[in-house]
Amino acid sequence: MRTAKRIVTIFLLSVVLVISGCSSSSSKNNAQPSTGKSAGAENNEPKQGGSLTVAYDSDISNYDPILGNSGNDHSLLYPVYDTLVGYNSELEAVPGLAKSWETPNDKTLILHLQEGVTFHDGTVFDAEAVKFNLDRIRSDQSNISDLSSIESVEVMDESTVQLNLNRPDSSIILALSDRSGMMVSPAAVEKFGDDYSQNPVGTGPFKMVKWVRNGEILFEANDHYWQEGLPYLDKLTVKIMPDENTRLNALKSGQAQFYWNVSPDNSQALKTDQNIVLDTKMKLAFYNIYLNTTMEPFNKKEVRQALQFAINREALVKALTFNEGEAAYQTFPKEYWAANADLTISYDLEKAKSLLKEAGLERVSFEMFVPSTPFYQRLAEAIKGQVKEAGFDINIEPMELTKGVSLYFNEKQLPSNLTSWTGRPDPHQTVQLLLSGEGFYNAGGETTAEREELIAKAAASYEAEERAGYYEQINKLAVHEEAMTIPIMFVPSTGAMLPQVKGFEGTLLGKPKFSFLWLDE
Amino acid sequence: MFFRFLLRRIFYVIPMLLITTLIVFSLILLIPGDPALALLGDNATAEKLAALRAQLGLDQPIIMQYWHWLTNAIQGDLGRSLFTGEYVSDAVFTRLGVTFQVVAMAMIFSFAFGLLFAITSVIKPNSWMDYIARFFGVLGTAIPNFWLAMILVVLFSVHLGWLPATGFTSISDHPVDFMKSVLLPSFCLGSFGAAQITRQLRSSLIEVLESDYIRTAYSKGLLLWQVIWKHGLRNALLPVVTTAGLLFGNMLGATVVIESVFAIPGMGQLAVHSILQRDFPMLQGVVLIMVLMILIINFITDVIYGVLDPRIEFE
Repeated sequence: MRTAKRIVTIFLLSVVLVISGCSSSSSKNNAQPSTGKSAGAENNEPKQGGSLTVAYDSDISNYDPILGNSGNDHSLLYPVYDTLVGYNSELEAVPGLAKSWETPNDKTLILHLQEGVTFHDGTVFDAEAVKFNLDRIRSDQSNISDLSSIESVEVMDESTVQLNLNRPDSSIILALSDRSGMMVSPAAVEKFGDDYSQNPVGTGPFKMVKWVRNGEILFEANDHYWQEGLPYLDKLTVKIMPDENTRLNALKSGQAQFYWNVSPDNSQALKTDQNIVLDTKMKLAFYNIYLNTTMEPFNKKEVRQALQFAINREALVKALTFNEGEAAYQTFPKEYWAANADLTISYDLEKAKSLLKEAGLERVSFEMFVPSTPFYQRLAEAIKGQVKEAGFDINIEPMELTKGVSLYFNEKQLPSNLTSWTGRPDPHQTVQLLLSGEGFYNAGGETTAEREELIAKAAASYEAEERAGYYEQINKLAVHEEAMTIPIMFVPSTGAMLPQVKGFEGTLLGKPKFSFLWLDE
Repeated sequence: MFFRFLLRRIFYVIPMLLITTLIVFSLILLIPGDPALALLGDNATAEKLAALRAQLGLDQPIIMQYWHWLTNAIQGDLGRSLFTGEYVSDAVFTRLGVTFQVVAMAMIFSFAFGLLFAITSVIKPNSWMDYIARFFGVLGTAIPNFWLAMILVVLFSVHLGWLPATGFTSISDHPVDFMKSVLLPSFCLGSFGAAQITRQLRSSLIEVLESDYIRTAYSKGLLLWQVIWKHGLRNALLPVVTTAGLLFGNMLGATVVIESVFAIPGMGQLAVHSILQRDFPMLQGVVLIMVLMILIINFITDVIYGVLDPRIEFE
């Protein structure tokens, strides 16, 4: 019996050693600031060649841009498809397949296309191909509704396309940097028909050569890419690993050189690791409590306002994101061009209580759908604790995402849901979807004439500064005054990479671009 | 005789398949969450939703949808994924190969360790070897395999760098890489099985070794290993075969977790993914194949009974 005890002791000791070994490895290196742009990109000349493996969190939902439905698809679509319009890290439009554009009046957009571009299958990219794509995106079989303002598409000459709009819509330009601007080969669509999504053909820097669903996607460099000298890499492999620990292990064991979507907890630990470079960039996506304003208790404006004042956003940012996040007082993060950095919502329990009193209520209880993942559960518990003092009792309903979204948006059985807004390239898309009467995320569908007028005015302006002014007014009206929705906080997106990976630049959209990375080895 | 047994077993399989697929079909349609909404996302207007549901056949009663699926399935057409548009049969069979290789290795592990521990422990009951075997028997049952998986990955992949942390290489592509990629997952998957087999085999061996014919074998002057191997093990293996059949089903279920820890693109991952997305045709395909596999294993188990024990007849 004594020997057995000894064996148990030895085993337990070894387990303890293993565990302590794991935790000490990340703390033995000294702190090294590694946020911001990945170092070295400006000092070194990019090197050609090599193959890069990326650990990414979810597989693409469909390789046909008009059929996919997930915001995580973009990073896997970018290598294959170029977009008509590009965007930079601050989400300003830059030339893409369209080298320039003009708006002779507020209902016309003329695109001047790059010349000498071909699809992977040799088909020529020209004005006809653009028309084919834009018509396809607006057809019944498409899931995209961003181009609903296009009345017709006219081919002016081989490299010029004119879009005639049925209403002024400045969001159309950045919409063309999204799925709507991804150009697929007309010949390939014709040839493959229903099987097109298994055989994607674009003009992008890489060709998709193999796709193992939920496993990995292999890309090979497009030798005839229209941008001289690009891409640098010969091969790009994206491995799908939904579990973050799996991605982290893949990076640490050298199976991947880049891992996307580092949680705040892990980024704290990785900051001190000299063998890993982090890139952190604030993004448009934010955690949000959606309210159905036609259901009890949120059909009363005072109740919504009270909830808006009862949340201490700064404290949530500190407690849950190690201060990496940013309190959300509007639908955009401070550093975005459409935001006004001065907007705030005060944390004011007294005001919240008196607002509830005004509504004739002492305590209010309501159901809130929360996705059943650990971070959401912690966030929900923290919010529940905060608003309790003001007189709110939240019944947290943890559910798997598809189910909860369906119950809230479709069947309208729940008055609120805590999920996130994933962000869109153009601020109009965000405001339209979240706050307008027709917006999908405005589950109650309530709106006011004033709000709709402001949204329409913002869409009719093509001047960034003027538009930003309108978005400030819209936020003051719909978020602050009417409390249609309760924004909580923005959290940056973080990628972790080995030091030899160069050329990465995070963007406000938070959708990483892997195409033009290079390896310094 | 055997042929008739075979026929009857195949005949049993049919109602079994019908019932399980119908149950799964109704269950996934009963849980809230609409694939049409998942597909359309924020472009979902009431008209678009209705149109897409009609196109996917989701507006019909469950029994009609099932009938539709069934009649196509009988003709070998399992349909296409609602999301990616790939053929369900292609997707399921590529993943089946992956999962089968992992589970087969896990079974080999279970048996190798199970036999080793059980035999060493009965050679001298209550010796230190017996204690080690019993200790691992308890440990293997008690340790959750996903935890074991994470610890092993941190130790062998991240710290020592001996084995890949993730991914899978097929045995047909590269046998050495296959062994490397499958070692940790199948060990984690098989640890429970090894423990079960150890416990089962140990107790049945002890029982068998006390019986009269073993005494007779000893008195004939046979060596210890001859007694255990020829007379003991063969008689003690029957309950183990039953356990092994059950273990196989168990392991298929456990792949759901293990495959996601090791990022192995197998059946388990496909099942989880399809459930979360409400990809009905894909999920039906997965369930159908899993049920079929378990039925086949049950059948094989029955045949092995007959081989091990000639007294059992196939009736």
